[in-house]
Amino acid sequence: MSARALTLDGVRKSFPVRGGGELVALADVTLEIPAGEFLVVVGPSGCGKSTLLDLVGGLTRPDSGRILLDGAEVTGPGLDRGIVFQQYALLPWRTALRNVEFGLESGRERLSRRARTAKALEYLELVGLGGFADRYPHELSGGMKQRVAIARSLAFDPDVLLMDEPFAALDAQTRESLQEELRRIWLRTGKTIVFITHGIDEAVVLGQRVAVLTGRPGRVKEIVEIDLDRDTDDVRSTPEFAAQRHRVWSLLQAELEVIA
Amino acid sequence: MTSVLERPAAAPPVRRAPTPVRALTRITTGVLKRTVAIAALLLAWEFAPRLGLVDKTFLVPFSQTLPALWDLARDGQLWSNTQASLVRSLTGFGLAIVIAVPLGLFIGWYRPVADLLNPLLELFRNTAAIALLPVFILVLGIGETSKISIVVYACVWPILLNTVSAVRTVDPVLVKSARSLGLPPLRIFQKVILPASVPQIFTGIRLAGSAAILVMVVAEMVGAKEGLGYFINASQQNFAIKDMYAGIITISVIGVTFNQILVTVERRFTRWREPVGDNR
Repeated sequence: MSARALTLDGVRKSFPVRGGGELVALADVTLEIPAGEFLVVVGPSGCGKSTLLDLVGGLTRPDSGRILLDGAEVTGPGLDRGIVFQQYALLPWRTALRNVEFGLESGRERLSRRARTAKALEYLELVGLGGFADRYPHELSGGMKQRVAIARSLAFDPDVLLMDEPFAALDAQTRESLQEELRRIWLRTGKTIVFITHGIDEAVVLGQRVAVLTGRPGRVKEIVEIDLDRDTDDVRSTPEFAAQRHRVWSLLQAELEVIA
Repeated sequence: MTSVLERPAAAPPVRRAPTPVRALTRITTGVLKRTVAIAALLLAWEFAPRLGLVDKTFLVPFSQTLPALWDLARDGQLWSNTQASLVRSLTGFGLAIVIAVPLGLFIGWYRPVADLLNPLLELFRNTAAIALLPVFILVLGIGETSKISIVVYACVWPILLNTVSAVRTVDPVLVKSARSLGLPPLRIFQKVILPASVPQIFTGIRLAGSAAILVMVVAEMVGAKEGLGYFINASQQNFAIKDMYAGIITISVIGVTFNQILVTVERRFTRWREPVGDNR
């Protein structure tokens, strides 16, 4: 398993607006994410969180600034980064197993069919879905679909896992269990994770650090270090959690007032 | 771990096998449900002329058409006409698939081409194929070529339009996710766009199937020396009313069978879809 450091250096991205002019989604975003870190990005809606993720994923290019993976500039999409989307993005005509195999089919080193299946099954088991390998997406619950999507993104062993509000469409209970599961997977695989959310609780529960973005155009307002003893039974009920949650909340609240 | 809440330990139970008696009852009610309306139609057909509600000369009771059908089947007339009709409609239908599916994929994939051609496609689709039959006969003569061509023409549009729209309405998130894996455009087309388009392409193919039979019958009525359309028309003109109905029944059986085959093939290819009710 590998992990690499991710650097965003003065990244700016704007979009042309109908009727002329441009909309600056991100202005001068600089972030230093060491290898193996779990970083959560929060910000008011429309602050360019998803744009940030598209840029790191290589799906779009920044207007200026650079994105570096261990010093090498990102110029396009690639299997060194895996993206987990909010809408799962599973291929409905493929079973869970074949969906996980999808990312393995275009790898640099060609795996044999049998090796792909074995690897896909291994990752389905990692997310607790070993018994559901031959189910089609429509036969799975939302939480299970997102587990499959996570397994798919992990299976090709990317250095960085990018997650775009992956649990936003799930009910509260499922979300909590998947958050816990994700932390377990992170501890086990040691991946660098960039996790985007608009949920403050989620950010504090998951992140080692939480980067708070400003409203449009998005900039890094502040990075909050999260220090929690996560071995306790219900981490959300501890005073430390409350204090750090409030810290992130106030930072975000200030941004919301600016917008409103 | 809280994930127990959402993850059953084993695969969910398979639906329990029904007892033989219950299965039999279910099948019988199923068959009954599906045949009752047709039985009612046949009864009405049988008794409306017998009770004098309609003229017996023009609407022959259903039971009297069956011997006619039997005789026609025995002396080979029915088969040779059916064969002629099937060759025309299936050739046209097959050619239309071969032409329209690849063309539709191409047009759908290249957005500018689609935008450019769409008004033209709409115009052609909304011009009833049969209205163009005289043109086809004028240009291609009265032989097989013009008949097969008009079937091709009528079948191409539903397949083409559905294929174009299938390609254009593929979930963009799927494409984005494939792109994020670094797949080149051709691979994305092969692994995402194509399979995602299959259900709607089949919708077009099924529409084309019924168009193939409709247009074939009309083309044969206008100018042919064999075929079911010709046979129905000729029987009417010779006042062989029972034969006419025998021909109509044959057409209707062919139509239903053809559609059923297409539905079965469609199901095979789209088994991954969420079931949307039993009868489509």
